[in-house]
Amino acid sequence: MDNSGYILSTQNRHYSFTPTELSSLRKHTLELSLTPLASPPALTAHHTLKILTHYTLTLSKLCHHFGVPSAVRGTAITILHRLYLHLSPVTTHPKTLLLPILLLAMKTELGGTSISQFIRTAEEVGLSTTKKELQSPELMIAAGLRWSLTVRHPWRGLDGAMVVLIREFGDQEDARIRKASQKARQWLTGDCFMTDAGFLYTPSQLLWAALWAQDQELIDRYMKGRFSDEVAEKIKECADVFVFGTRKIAGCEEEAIRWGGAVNEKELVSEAKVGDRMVHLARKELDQGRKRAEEEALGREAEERERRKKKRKMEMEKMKADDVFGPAL
Amino acid sequence: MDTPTLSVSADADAPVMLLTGDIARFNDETRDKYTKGQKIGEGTYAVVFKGHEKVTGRPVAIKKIKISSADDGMSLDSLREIKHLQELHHENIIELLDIFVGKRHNIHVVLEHLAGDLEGIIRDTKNFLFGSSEIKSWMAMSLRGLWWCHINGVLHRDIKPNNLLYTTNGVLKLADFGLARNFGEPGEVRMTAQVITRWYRPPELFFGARSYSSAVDVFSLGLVFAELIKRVPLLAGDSDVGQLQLIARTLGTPTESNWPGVSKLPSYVIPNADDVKPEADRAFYRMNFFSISQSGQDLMRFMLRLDPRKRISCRQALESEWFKEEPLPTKPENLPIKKDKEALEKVGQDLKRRAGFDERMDGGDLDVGNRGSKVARRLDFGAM
Ligand SMILES: Nc1ncnc2c1ncn2[C@@H]1O[C@H](COP(=O)(O)OP(=O)(O)O)[C@@H](O)[C@H]1O
Repeated sequence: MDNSGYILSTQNRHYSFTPTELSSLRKHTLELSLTPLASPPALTAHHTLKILTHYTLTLSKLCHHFGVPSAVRGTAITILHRLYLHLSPVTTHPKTLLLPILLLAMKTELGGTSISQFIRTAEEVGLSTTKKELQSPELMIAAGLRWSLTVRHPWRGLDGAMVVLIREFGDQEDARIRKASQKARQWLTGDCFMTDAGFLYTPSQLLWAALWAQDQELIDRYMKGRFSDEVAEKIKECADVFVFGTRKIAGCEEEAIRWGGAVNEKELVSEAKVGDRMVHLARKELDQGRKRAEEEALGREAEERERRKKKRKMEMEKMKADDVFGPAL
Repeated sequence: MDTPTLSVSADADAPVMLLTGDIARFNDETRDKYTKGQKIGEGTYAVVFKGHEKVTGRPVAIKKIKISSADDGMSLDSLREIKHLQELHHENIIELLDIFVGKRHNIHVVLEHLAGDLEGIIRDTKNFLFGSSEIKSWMAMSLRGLWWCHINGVLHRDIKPNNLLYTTNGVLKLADFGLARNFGEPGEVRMTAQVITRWYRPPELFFGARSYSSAVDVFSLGLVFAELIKRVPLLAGDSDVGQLQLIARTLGTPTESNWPGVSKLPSYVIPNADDVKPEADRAFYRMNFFSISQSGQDLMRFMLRLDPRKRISCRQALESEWFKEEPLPTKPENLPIKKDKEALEKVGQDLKRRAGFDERMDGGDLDVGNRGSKVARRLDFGAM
């Protein structure tokens, strides 16, 4: 049901998972960042995901403040979550990357923006930043994304879906179709970002799930005979789990997944704070270790330079001596 | 907006953010897949090196983006090229194999290695003769690559002969996606009209159209088609104003009658008010492109229609009778190609050798050899 371009898209190749794959990748990335620590805190992928979810909300608010279109907001939030599949908050805290991520999303979706304007807009909400701070993480972000800068937003197919539905059911259902489509858009450009649905379903499965959630009777009729039972099941599963948040995926009790359902902001903040404290402790130890390693490396380098200088001096002296005694033949 | 509970500010004087952990490992693994060889070319924003994929020995082109992205971020050109080539996989589009960050924070884009571009063949009238079958083959391959871009929602926006490259087997590939962008998304932000190299730019862009479509690429390719026949650019204007006048004099003056709505475009003018011309008709194409058949002339005319809505799509173009009738398109492996520099050098060396030209008998070489051994002896002595 997706066009042939989707199969080879980076979204499908790098960012499409089963729930188990997704949560083990997150666990793996966190473990990797904690290995250098002598006494790692009891930080779990569940905690880091809460931190990330908290910053997703912050990023979303930032996007509203910047007045960017849904495509930029969707891309920015997707970049944040794709990046943190390979990056741990212990290594680089998400709060330092929110503005650079928003800037990158504006560059890929809108073809650039004025940096000074961007800095001024950030200042309006008390975030002071510089051009260098905004741009220096860009390579790390792009490399962390495996250089996949395209995000296929499911709502882009909504107008097309509306056309086929009206063709199927005729003008008498026009109002009903429009209403379903409008509500589907609301979910796809809103709460959907607070879940992992984008990692687990194709854009068109998401699109039909969002529509089905709004008007089951109508969309059931449309899907019958058109979509295989398997695909239809997948669409309904997506709606139940992520739009309604009424069930989890059978046989999958994974903790490091953002399931659907309402987000309680207060609860989220307190959970994120618990995680954040541990992240800070871990970072402290990591920074000390890093500093020690850097100093050692610098010391070694200085020693090496000194040694080479001495050696060169000796060689030069020998050569001069050669000249004094004539060519060595 | 509420001030976020946890503050969002970066470290005061953050150094260049290095790749760490998993991200660094992945980057190093990617970099280590290739060897980097000699420089083979240089463009405005990149130096291109020949390289090889270690495991397969496959030759590649490694495009090193000139500006270090460490403090300035990625240039829009490289960002666009990477973004779009990552998603477009097609026989007639250059293949992006990998991307990695070098030691000095320069982006390296690894591309399949190509042998040359159509401009090199078109201009070299001394060494290359070709006719309808070859042109048909190049046009069909270009149209297929462009069709794939368009159905995947990507405009190329810089179609011209030196962005149409080919492999040593003659297979044509669209390259240089530094100006590409997505189109056809509802609620689209307005697009800039400052794209496409002047000689290949369609009239709607000169009139400042801010929402344009795949028809811009079709027009550019239509001009490449004409150039393949004429062996010189059809419309080589020396300024933007001159270019628009040239379009109007050659293909016809854009007016409300041949292009409804054109006068509403932001910078619409009648470029040749003293000499208004009707849109070029069949007779024009028959007279100027008599070396190809009627269906070929029709195809060109449909690609070069003034009104973008009347231009044909790549798919319709590919369905043209011209591609089905005799003479049939040349098979790619039989198309003329320019030997790349390395191949030419090799031929040169073979010739030298055959002529009994031995490097060791060259006086200059002897001199260098001698000096070299002196230095070596002396260093040996010094290290004792
Ligand atoms: N894929 C490739 N294979 C072989 N040579 C290439 C390839 N890409 C670029 N080159 C060479 O490098 C030169 C510069 O390329 P590029 O950076 O794309 O610059 P521009 O588009 O400004 O010419 C080209 O003219 C060509 O000689």
